[in-house]
Amino acid sequence: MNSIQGDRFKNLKDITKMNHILKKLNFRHFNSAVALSALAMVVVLAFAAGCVKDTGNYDYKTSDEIAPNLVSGIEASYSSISMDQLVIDPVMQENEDLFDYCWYAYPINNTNVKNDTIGRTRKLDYKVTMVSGTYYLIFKATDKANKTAVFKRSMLTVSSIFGEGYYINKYENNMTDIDFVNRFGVVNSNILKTVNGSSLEGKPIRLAYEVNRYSYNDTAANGTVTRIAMKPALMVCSDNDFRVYHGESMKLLKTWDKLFYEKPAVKKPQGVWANTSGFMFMNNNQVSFINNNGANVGEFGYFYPVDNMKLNPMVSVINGSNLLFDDNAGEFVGYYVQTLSPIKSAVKVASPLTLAPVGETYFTNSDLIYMGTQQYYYTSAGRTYAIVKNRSTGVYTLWQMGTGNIQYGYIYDNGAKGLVIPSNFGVVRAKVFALKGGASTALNTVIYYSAGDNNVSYYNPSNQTEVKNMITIPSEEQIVAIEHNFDNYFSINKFSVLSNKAGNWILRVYNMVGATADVAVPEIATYTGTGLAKNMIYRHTNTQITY
Amino acid sequence: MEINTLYNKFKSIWLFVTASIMLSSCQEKVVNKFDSESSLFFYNGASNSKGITQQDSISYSFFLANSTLVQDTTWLDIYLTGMPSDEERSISIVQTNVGKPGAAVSGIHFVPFNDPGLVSKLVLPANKVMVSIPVVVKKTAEMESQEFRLDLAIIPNESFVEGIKDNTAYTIKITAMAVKPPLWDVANSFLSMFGTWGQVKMKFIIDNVGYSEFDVIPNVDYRMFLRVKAKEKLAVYEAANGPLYELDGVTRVIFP
Repeated sequence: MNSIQGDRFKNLKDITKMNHILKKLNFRHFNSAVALSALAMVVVLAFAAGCVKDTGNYDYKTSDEIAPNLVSGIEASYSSISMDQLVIDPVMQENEDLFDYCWYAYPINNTNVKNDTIGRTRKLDYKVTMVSGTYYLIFKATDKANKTAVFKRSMLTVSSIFGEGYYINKYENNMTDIDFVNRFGVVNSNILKTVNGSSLEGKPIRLAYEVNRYSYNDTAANGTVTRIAMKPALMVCSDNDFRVYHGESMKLLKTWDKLFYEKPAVKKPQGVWANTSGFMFMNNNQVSFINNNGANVGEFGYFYPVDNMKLNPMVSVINGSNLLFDDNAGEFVGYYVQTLSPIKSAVKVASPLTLAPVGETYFTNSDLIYMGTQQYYYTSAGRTYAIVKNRSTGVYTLWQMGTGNIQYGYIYDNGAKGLVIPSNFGVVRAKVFALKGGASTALNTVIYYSAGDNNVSYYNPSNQTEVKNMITIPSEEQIVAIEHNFDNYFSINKFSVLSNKAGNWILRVYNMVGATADVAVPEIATYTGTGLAKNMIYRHTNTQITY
Repeated sequence: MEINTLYNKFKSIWLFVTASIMLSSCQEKVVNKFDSESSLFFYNGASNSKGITQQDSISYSFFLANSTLVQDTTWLDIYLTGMPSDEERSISIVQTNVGKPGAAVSGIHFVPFNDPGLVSKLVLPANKVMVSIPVVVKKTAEMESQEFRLDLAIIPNESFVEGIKDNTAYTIKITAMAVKPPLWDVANSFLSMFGTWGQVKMKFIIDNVGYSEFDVIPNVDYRMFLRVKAKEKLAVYEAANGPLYELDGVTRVIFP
């Protein structure tokens, strides 16, 4: 027997002995060969088991039998006013104690508002504290045992008391204040004085509302200062004062002395406008901006140099860009909040393919007759329309401006290209104007106008016609403002006419005739108040900016 | 026989390890505490507790201050290494470049640290780990054209042992000349607002724009305010006086 055979023999003896020990020790130890064999056997068995037909006796259930079932009690949509109780009482098919509940809401169109859990019980009983807007409201019931859940989504529209209605900017007893016509048609007089104890001195000029572009510092009783960011604000400008109010509560946030990094030496307010970057304020022939980038706390920046200009207080705003008119040179001037100097050299024509400026269609030495912003939907505008009169030739022309592109450093015309308006058209001598809301396709609007008398007409540039006296109100009234209240997304489509009569204002609201430019007469509602109205803004629940 | 022996050995080892682990869990946990003696070091960072840039060195210039000011205070943050004490402890600071060229002179360019008015402020308060100590700098005529260097060191005393060498020394440069602020070239800071730094430009900003807080970067909205204001003020100046140049007479002051 050689040594190898001897070793094998010895090993065989060992293995035999080991098997004996394994039995004895109940597999507490074994050598690697045995382990490998056992492992291989297990693997083979596992694979083989996969080939065996499954003949198990399973009890299949439908999802209805396992998951919670909502029977009723949740509507497709809800409407609520801030601080009201929202009560929803859903009915579950099973015993309600079997489930955990959660109600939460998230906005469909306002990215600055966070999602929020508003209830943890089956029955929702919630004091509405969300900012104005439309939300998806989600109900979720989760089975405590198997964790399956049922969801139900509905729409919740929230607005503050001041979140929907007409803001009439008026003058009474040498003061400026606002009469608010709420959604129920109730006229709330002098809301600024009612809420804050005082009105603004001077005659009314302008109002501007933005849903989430105003930040300010709040000082607690213990002196702690907290920056409150991106809140709704209503800015009110009279010819002798300028103030900022919270857009939901109308609580006064800032007065003149606190509104600027450096208070202007001359106090001569000329208007305030909201834009998607913040706000623009015109004072004493200069403009300044609030830019919401960074840590702004609601203070306007440095006033841009006059630069030999005389700024017309008729302004159009689209996105963060602002189109103004220099009455001295008789030409447009553009401002963008992050541009160091105004853009005023030319009106450029955009390439229809690239939208980049190609060539120039220059005009200057003109008088501005009208300029306004076309409302499209809650946060977006169509185009700027402007009518000018050449001082040399006396020819009236229409321009459709892409104001939003001022931020890129140029002003250009979108398509009207100086469309000549016949000089016998009433629109060129009007005093009060409004644009029909709509998208930004070429000349997709009409210009409503009034001579400040008791009639409303419109000019249609697409076919160069006018519809005269579309609306006629009593002859003793003088029309001071007209507006197409339009939102393409939320299907807002009304027309409003604001007039004065013997120290009182009258607001009439009309339906539109479908999607046409025509207004259905007579009016569907009339509201009146005391004082002389200057202008108005209409705000619906989802309005994010007014022009 | 051999396998039995091996098994018994493993069994013994296994039992020993298991028993050790179990026994160790019964032992009272002893937390290692820092029980060394205390020392001090100078803070080195973008902004100390007074908002001053205390990085590497501090450059104090009377250029940024009102011209009638002849004495001012800058601040240095000093931190503790070790445990706080329930008693206040004095801090010893000395000048280490006495007599060297360009060195600040005690009593002339700064108030000495053993001045009775300062001694009481050179203490680490009880139960505190940081203190901001004043360094009182004094303006002299020479500073209009010269910079003086004050090298400082924290030295051991009855309360503190020697600290880490690199962190116990600090330098303050004192002058009345314009000094380029450390934050000037930082991204989204003064370079983007006002362009390349220059002594005349900086003086113009201080005098005409009314801004001199170069230790902090203004927020984006305020930067825009300053940019528009600087451009307008320079335009007004040039309309009355013609172009403004740096001291070399060649480099024109402009704002981008």
